[in-house]
Amino acid sequence: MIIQVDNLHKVYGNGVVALDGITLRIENGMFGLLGPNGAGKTTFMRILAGLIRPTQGTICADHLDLTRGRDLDTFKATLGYLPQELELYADLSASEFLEYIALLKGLNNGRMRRARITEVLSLVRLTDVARRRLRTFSGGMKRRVGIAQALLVEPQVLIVDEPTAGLDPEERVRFRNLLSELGQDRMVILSTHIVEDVAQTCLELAVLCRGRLLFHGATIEMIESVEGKVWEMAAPPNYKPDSTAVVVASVRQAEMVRYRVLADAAPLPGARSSQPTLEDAYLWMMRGIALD
Amino acid sequence: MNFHTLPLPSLPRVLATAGYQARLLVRQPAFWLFQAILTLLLYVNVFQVLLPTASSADFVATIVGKGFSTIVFVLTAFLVAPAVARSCGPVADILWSTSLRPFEFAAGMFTGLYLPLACSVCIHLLLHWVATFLPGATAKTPPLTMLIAFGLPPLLTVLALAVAVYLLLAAFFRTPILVYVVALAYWVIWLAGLIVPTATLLSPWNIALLTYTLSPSAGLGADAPLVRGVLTFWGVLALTLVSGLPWGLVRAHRLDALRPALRAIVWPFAGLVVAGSVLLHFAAVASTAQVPATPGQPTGQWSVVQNDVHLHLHGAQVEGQAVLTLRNAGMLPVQEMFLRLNAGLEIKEVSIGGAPAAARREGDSVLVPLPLPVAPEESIVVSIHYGGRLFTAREDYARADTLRGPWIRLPLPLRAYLADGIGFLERDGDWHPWPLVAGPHLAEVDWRLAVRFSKDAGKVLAADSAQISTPDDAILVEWQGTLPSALLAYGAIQPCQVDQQVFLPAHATAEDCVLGADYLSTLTELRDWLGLPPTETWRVVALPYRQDAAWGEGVLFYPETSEYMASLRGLRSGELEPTRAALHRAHEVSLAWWRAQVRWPPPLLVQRPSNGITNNPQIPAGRLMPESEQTLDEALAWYTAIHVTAHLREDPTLVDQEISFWTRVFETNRGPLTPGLEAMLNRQQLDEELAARGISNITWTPPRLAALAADILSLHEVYLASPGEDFQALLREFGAKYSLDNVQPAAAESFFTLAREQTGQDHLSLWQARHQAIASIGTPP
Repeated sequence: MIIQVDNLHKVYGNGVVALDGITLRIENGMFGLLGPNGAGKTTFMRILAGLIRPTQGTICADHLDLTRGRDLDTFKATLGYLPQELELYADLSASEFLEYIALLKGLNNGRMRRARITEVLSLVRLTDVARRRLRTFSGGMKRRVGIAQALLVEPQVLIVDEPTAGLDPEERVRFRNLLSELGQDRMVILSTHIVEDVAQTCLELAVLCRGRLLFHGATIEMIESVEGKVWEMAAPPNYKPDSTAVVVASVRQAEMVRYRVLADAAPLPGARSSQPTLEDAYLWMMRGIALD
Repeated sequence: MNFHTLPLPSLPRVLATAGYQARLLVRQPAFWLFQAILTLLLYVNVFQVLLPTASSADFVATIVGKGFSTIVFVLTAFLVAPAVARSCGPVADILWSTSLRPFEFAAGMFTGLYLPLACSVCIHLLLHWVATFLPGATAKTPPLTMLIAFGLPPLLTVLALAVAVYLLLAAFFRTPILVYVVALAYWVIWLAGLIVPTATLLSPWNIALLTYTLSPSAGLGADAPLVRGVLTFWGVLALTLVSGLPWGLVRAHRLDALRPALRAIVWPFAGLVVAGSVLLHFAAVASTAQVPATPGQPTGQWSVVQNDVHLHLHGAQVEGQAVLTLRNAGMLPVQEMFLRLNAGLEIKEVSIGGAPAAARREGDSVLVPLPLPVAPEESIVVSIHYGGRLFTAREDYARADTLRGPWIRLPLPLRAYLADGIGFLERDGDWHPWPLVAGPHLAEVDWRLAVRFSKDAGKVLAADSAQISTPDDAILVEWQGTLPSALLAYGAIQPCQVDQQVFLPAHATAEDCVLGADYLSTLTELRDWLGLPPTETWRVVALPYRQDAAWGEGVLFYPETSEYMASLRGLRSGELEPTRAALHRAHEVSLAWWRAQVRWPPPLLVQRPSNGITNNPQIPAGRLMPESEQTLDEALAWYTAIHVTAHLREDPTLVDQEISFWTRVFETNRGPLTPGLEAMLNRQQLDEELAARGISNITWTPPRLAALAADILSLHEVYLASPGEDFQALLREFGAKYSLDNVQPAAAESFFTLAREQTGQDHLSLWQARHQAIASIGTPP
C-alpha cells in the first residue's frame, strides 16, 4: 500500500495551524514521524486514522481517497490505530474490551474472533491477566492492551502514536522488535519522541515542526546530513560551547567533562569527529529551526 | 443530503455497543443504588413517609415510567451529540478509528443503557403489581399491558424521534451544538410548562407528545394541540425521505452500482416503515388501553314526554293526578308500565288512553299491565289518580325508598315532603326519578306541575318562578318549564322565640329553636365570609324528616333536632364535639347554598345492588343512586364550611387541620393500598373521621372521595394564591357566572379557569394533575 499526502492543511477552530502544506509519500514498511511537541504529528496521525478531517489537501491510500466517507470506511477496515492518549473502559476486562473492538472491526465470527484475541494477548504478553478489569492495570499494561487492539484485524496499515511511552526498557525493546516484524509486510507509521525507536526500526522518516515538513526521506540520508558535524571531546567543567553548537551529551570523568557536541567545525582543538546518529541529525535540524 | 451515501447501519456494531454499554452500566454501583431506591419507593414506600403530599407506590411507578420516558428525549441528545462530534469518552479515538458510525454508536449506547434500566423498571412494576393487586379479582391493568406500556415500544418513539431529529440536524449542520440547543429548548419548554398533557393516561400517545397541548396558562391557548406539530414533523420527515428517493435514484443511475440505488430506496422506505409502525403501534396500544369507565347509565325503556301532576296537600294527606305521556324508547315492545309511589298512597284509578286499566302494587312499586304492547317509538297516555297518607320515616323506616322521609317520588326531579300542618317541595338536585335515567332531563321533559293548598292549611313561604293564584278556596302554585328551587306551605308555623328569623312547626321543641339559631348564625357567617350583602329577610325553617339542609329563595330548611341528632348518631356513635358538629352544620348550609346558586351538571344514576323489589325488566337490576361526575359542589361546600367554622369557632388552626385531613383522604383513597400502607395511614381512623363529617362510605367510594379531596386541596391552593377578599370575589364571580339561569352547567374546569384568570397561576393544570393521578390508577400508565 502507498499513502500519498498532498498539500495537507489543518487549521483548528481557534486559528491554530496544526499542519501547513504537508506533502509526502509513505510506502510499506516502517515509517517514522519525528518532531517536537506541537509539531503536528498527532494531528497528522488522527487525520490518517479518519478521526478528524483536513482543512485542505488530499490523502490517498492506493486508489482510496481518504477525504471521502466511503473510501475512508474501506480504509478503516484495514487500519490499526493506537492513539497517543490512551484510556480504556476501566470496568471491562482486557479480553472483553478486545472483543468489543473486534466486533466493531468486523470480526463477527465468534471462534475466529476469540482465537485472534488470544493471539494478540499473547503477542503483548497479557494472556495471564486477560480476565482482570482494566482498572487494575498499570500504565504499561494498558499501553499493551492498546497495542493489542490495534493488531486485532492484522492491519495493512498500523498507525501508532507514542506506542512505547510508559513501557519499561525491556518491554519497549520487545515492542520495537514487534513493530519491526510487523513492518516487514505492511505499513507501520510510528510517531514518537524517542528518536532511538525510529533509528532502530524505520528506514524512512519524516520530521515535522510547527506544522511544516522539515525532512522526508531515508533515515540514513538524514543521518548522513550531519556527517562531520558530530564532535566528542574532553573539556573542563566550566567550558561554554559556542552558541551555534549543540551539546548532545556531557559525562563527567574525574576532573574533566566528556562532551558530545554538534557544530560545523571542531569546537576545541582536541575534539575528534564522531559517527553521527539519528538523534544527532534530529537535534541539528531542530537547531537550525531555532536559529531561524 | 445524499441518501445513497448513507450506509446502512451495521446491526452487529449496534448490538455490540449495546451489549458492552449494558455490561458497563450494570457494573456501576449507581445502577444498583437506583434499584435499591426504586425498591424502597415501590415496596417500603419511603416516598410516602418523606413527602406527605406524595402518593402511593402506583404514583411513584407512574412517575418513574413517565419521568424516565420524558427525560430520555433530552438524555439522547447527550448520547447523539458526542457521537456527532466523535468524542465519546475515553476510548473515542479507538472507537472512531473503526467503521463505527455515529448513528450506530448512539443507537447502541441508548439501547445498552436503556435496556437494563427498562428491564429493571418492568420487573419492579410487575412485582409491585403482583404484590399490590393479587390475589383477588381486579379490574386493574393486566401485567402484560403494563409491560407494554412501560417497555420498549413507547420508548421506541422517543428514541426514533430524538435520534431522527438530532441526526438530521447533525447531518445538515455537522455540529453538536445544535443538538444541545434543541434538547435544551425542549427541556426549557417542558420546565416552563409551555406544554401540558391533556390525557389522563400515560399512554404511548402521551409520551409521543401526541396528547400535549400548548399551555393555556402561558397564553398559548388550548386549541393549538401539538398533535399537529408532531404530525407535521412526521409528515415533513416522510416527505423529506420520499423527496430524496428520486434524487437518490438519479444519482444511482449515474453511478454504476446497484447498491447505492438500493440504499436510496431502503432509507426512505425504512423511515416510512418506522414512522408508520410506531404510529400503528401507538394506535393499537391506545385502543386497548383501559379507560376508567364512566358511571353506568342504565337505559330505560320509557322516556317521559309529557307530565302533568296535581297534588293536593292537606296535612299529611295527598291526592294527586298524574298524566304521563310515555314513549317506548327501547328496542322491544313493552307490555307493562312501572311506576314508584310512596307505599302509603293508594292507587284510586288508572286509565290508559281514557280506558280504565288495572294496577298492581308491590311495595312502593306500581305495575300497570298494558292492554296492548307498546311498540318501540310509540307512545301512550297514562293517567294515575292516587291518594292517601304518606308513610313517615318512623312508620315505614325499613322501606328503602322512604328511608329519607315521607317523600313522594314524582316523575319529576322534585321531592315533596309532607307532615301535619306543613308541606314542602324542593328541587331534587341529585336525583332523576324513574323513568328518567339520565340527564339533562329538562331538555327531554315537557312538564307542568301544579300544587294546590287549601287556604286554611297554610301559605306559600317561598316559591320561585311559580305562578301563584287563588282560584277559590285554595292557593294554586304552578310551575311550567322551570323547576322550583323550593316551596314551603305551612299552617301552624311560628317564629322562634330565640330569633325571629327562625320558624318552627307547632310540634317543634325548644331544642329546635336553638338548633335553628345555630343554623342561622352559620348562614350569617357564610354570608359574611362570602362577602354577600346583609339580608334581613332570610328565614330558617325547621322541618321534620330532613337530615340535611335545603336552600330556597330567602329560606333555609334545616332538620328538626330529632332528625339532626339522628343523623349525627348515624354518622358516629356518641356525641360529636362542638367543632365537628359546627363543621357538619356549616357544610350542610354551604352545600345547600352552592347547589341553589350554581347550575351543576345533572348527575348520572349508578346502579347499586338490588333491593329485591321486583324483577320487572323496566326496573334496573340494582337500585339507582345518583352519582355526580363532578365533586366541586361538595368541595366548595366543605372548603367554605372549613373557613366559616374557623371564623365561628375563632380557631384559625382549623383550616390547616382540615387541609391536612383532606390530604390524607386524597393519599389514602386515590388508589389501592398495600396492607402495610393501610396500617401506616391508619385507614380505620380516617374512616371514623370521615364518618364524623357525615361522609358515607356507601355513596363516597374511594375514587370519588379522592376526587373530592383533590378538589378541596386545589381550592386551598387557589386560596393561598389569592386569599381574603380576592378569593371571596372569585367565589361570588363563579356563583354569578354559572348561576341557575345558565343553560350551560358549571364544571370544575370553569372554576379553575376563573381562578387562573384572577391569580395568573395555572390552577387548572394542578387540578388536572391530581385527578389524573386518581384516574391513572389501574390503567395503563
